[in-house]
Amino acid sequence: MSAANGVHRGARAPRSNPRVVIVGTGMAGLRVAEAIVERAPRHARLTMLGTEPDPTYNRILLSKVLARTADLGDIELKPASWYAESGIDLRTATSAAGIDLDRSVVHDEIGETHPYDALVVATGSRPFVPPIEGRDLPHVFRFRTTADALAIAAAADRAERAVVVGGGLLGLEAAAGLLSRGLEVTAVETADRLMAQQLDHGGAAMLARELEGLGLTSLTGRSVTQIHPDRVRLNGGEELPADLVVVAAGVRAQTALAAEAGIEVRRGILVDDELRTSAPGVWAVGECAEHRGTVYGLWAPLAEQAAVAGASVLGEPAGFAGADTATTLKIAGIDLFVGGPQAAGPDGEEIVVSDTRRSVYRKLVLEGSRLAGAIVVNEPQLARRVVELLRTGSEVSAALLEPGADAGADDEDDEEAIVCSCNRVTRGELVATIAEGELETVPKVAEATKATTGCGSCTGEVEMLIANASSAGNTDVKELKLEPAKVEA
Amino acid sequence: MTTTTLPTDATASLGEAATRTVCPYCGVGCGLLARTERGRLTSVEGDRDYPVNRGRTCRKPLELPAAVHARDRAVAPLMRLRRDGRFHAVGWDEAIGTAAASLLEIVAEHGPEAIAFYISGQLLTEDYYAVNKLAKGFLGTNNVDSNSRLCMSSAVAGYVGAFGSDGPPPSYADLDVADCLLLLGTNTAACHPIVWARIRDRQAEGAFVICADPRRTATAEGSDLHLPVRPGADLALLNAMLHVIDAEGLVASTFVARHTSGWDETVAEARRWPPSRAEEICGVPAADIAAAARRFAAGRSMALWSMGANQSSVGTHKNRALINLCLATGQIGRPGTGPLSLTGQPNAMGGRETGGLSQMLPGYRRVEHAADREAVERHWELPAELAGISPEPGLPAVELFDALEAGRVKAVWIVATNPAVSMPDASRARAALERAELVVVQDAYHPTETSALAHIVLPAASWPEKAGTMTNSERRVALMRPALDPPAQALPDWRIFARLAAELGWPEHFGWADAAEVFDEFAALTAGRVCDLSGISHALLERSPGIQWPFPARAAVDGRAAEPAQSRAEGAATTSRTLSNASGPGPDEGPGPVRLYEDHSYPTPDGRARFEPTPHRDLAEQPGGELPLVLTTGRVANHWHTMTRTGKSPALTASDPEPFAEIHPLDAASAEVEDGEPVRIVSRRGQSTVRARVVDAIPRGVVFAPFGWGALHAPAGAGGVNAATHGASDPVSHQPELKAAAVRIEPVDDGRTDVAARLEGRLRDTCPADPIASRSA
Repeated sequence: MSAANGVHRGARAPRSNPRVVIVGTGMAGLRVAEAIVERAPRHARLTMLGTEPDPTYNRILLSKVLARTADLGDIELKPASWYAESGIDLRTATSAAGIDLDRSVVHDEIGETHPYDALVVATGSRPFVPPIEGRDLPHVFRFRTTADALAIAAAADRAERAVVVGGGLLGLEAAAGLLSRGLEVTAVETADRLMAQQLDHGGAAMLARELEGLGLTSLTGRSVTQIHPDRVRLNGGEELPADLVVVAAGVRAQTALAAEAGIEVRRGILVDDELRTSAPGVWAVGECAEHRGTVYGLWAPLAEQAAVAGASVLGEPAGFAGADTATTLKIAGIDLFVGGPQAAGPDGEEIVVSDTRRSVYRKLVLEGSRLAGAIVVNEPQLARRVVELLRTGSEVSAALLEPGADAGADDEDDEEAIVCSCNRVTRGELVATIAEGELETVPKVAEATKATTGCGSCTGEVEMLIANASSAGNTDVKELKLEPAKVEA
Repeated sequence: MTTTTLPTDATASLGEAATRTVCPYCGVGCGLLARTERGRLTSVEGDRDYPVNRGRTCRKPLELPAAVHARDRAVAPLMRLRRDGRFHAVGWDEAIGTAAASLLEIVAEHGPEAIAFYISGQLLTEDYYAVNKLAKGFLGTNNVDSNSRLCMSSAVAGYVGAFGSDGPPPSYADLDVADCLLLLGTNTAACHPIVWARIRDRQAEGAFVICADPRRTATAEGSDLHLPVRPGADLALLNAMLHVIDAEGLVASTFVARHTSGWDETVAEARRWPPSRAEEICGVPAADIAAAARRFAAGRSMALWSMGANQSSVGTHKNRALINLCLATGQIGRPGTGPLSLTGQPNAMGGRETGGLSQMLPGYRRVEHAADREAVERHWELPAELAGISPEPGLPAVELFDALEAGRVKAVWIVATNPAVSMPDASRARAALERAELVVVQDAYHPTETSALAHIVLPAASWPEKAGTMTNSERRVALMRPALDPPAQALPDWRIFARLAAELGWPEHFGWADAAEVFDEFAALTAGRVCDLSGISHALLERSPGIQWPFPARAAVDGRAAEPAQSRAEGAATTSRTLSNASGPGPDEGPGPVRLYEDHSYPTPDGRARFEPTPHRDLAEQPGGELPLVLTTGRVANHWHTMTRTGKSPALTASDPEPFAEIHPLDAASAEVEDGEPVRIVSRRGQSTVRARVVDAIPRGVVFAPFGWGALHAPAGAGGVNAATHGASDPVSHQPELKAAAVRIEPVDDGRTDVAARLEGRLRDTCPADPIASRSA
């Protein structure tokens, strides 16, 4: 068929052992590699180029490194041997310098060229640092990489008072990490509430109250205008003593490499449902990609993107149709879930329950009888149920809508309840896997199921399931259940 | 958008916006109520006033909201310049314009036979009619075949051979009064659950249920007598049953003498099959064969079957053998009797009526018959400058994909089906699509394993977004009513064909205002045919719980629509007894005759039903050597076809979350695989990785695996089960033998997947030569 009518003859020459280059050794880049290796072991010739010196680690758990409850080895996602066994040429501390689309090669910063049949751009994002006077002082840190986390952790040894610029998800996690190191911590947020992108005022107020209880002070509607070696100045003129400052004021997609190559970019690198960019043979995934107008920053949709891209690179059918953003905050002692829109549309309904005695806040946003969005603080069983309702669009049962509903009462036995939402691992799977393998530790369960390897917020539940399993023959089950770790204020 | 007004009494109990419609899944055709709210489907439940299911449903339709509102619905026409490039959203004008220009170019260069349409039993009658009219009439290609070819074309061939016409003679109402039900090759409990529920009701009243199936399925478990027939040995079993009926003087001699032909040759073949000989071949104890035969001959008996009979290289003969049993014992044309094929898809029957297979034309007509072609051409007002309908049958499904692979067919337009997963020898089907110059996929979802291979993807409306009709397994024409608007740019399939036709230059011939007009044009074409539904209209269906054909125009005028069919009277007393099991009075069975051939006048040249000898033949691919096992494929209760919809529901997926194979403990031991471990099923053509379920419900030497998991639903790299099946087909029905391929089972110990093996070209080296791969197309 001629090109005149727009469709070329479609036969595709089968590639033997295609060369796949993945730019970016972050979690999304690794997940692409995993997807390719899983589908076709030792088939593709894979090269991974990354700016950071370490192999891929779980960035979501960096706050634990900061808190010194984990070291780098604990958050490493794959041992070095895995890359070798999988035939992956891993180039750490080697940034990509340019993409030549015409010649299908990637140039790296040390002058090597990497020819590709398929290129996956997974350059992630970089921290956004507002133009604050003093932001380059040595006690001011960003919070993105292992180097950042280690630097903050070292600085925390010598510091007493910390200010975190940014009261979003990342800022609060950094703050909690510092708090656990015994620092006095204040989070400063420009918006009028914490986690303004995710929470309504009621939910944010409950969160602030809970954080206060843990010893974390938050100031909202305020911004840091100047940083001095021993203090910061706020927009109202008042000053806070601070010998350690962490800036966690949001991220920007890393699109420069793609843009300079001539690939279409808006807020992120534009991709279609197969994660293909405007350039033939080039895919983009993760925080650098913009899909149907959305640049995702949470792991669950990014993991899905990576799996789809991996399949697509191999010519397998796959599609990413977008995802509802749902998130959990992982600060020990606080269980917070947010998903979907936080306010009802003109015809929608909202049900809000707030109980400061029990530290419980619940907001259900309804479109008709369907759950459209939810905020759930400190009701983990309800949160699991809400995740399912958001996913399926099923009718919300009347019982759930009652203000005092004990929503999770019957959830304990629900095998289908998703425990690890990042990797979609159900309670039933976990119970079965733990029992079959007689698994006794979280890392072993993680290895077998991937549970806890995403945001890690389900670790407590997994520990509980392990404890339950190991006490199966025991008469006193309760005694062996683990309490969530308490944070030292 | 309008919501159908229900009768006042029903509306009162329905409350909020509910639309009365029928189920889009299997051929049972249950009535459903779809509740909507603010443009979303909120819940689905069984319609208590519908005679087929009386409020009951299986699990699948209840989970339709997850499927209807799934994120991967196709919502805009997509196009791409190269198959390894990315899709771009384009408008309908550009998509249809490009597709039309490409088709015309290919027709000009290679002739009309270089284009093909591969359609689906999921389509509504109106959709089927529109595409057949366009392709066979206006484009001049008979290469229009349906996935029903893989499902029930052997039943068509069986009915046509025995009775002179397609059309299942009995109805579900007959189940309620039968004394003996012979089920062969049907896991009714899993695949037609509501028919099974009616069978169980009748069984509780004393009916005897016989199930012939290699596996001890849920259906076999629930039966009074299980005949564990070896795969491919049904004809030995059925011949032996006829042998017993003959030998023990149970033949309905008067009926046979008056109303049939071919008895002598047929019984001569049967006499070669004493049960003791059959036992050696089919594995069923001779005493059980005899018991089954006696039961079947004794009272009012029905034969029911499904893919186990149809998906076979002797599928037509299996159908004939089942009908032979009915004819020999006079089990036809009376309440509680007859051969009833259970269709897999919701509108396989409507597809047959509209000429949805490559040799057929609307009204059960055939392309080879000049009179049939002329009647249809006249009705279609084919422009004189067109060549007209070709007298050559088009390519049936397997041959169509062979022709694509060979390059004889250049363009394929695939509608509402997923051949990359469902075709036998699926990697070959996929390769065929990769070779095609133009692949258009018209579907409600994207990507599917098939649309991922397309140049153009056209978004189709799905249930419950469009109006139209479907015919279920018992000839009941039912109205699908729209309850929602299609998402974004999606259109009903018939409208897409009408747009294509207009673009190709025939707007006035396809200028229907709505689906009711399409139906009227089609229905008029059935006047005087066996499947006469010329008295049916959307308007009449609005007031009926479905109408069973034949229902000629005069029936509507006579007021039969309002009265129960005359033919019901005979069985009325017993029927009503069963209906009283339901709470309150049972629903009206609806208008139209319950059964065909009550006068024993058959549409054959001599008016007699025909026997046919059905000699046993071995499987196309006999197990042995390195491939010692027979793989038989099928479905599971909670998943449908290739899972495009059921795979969206966590509740449905939970029961069988991943592909599996049932393996006999001794076979598992020899293959050194254990229960719960991943195993590879390996055939000459390909392989698939599944989880082993070591069970004694399957006989030694047989492996069962459901076929529904394709690349999008199976674990990464696992491959689909149809990679292992083959396309050797029945010579009459051209239905492939999906139920039996020679395989071996291997433990998965090296972490390799079939994808890797295939890519490295290792596969064919490790297997013996493939006699089927060289089959002629």
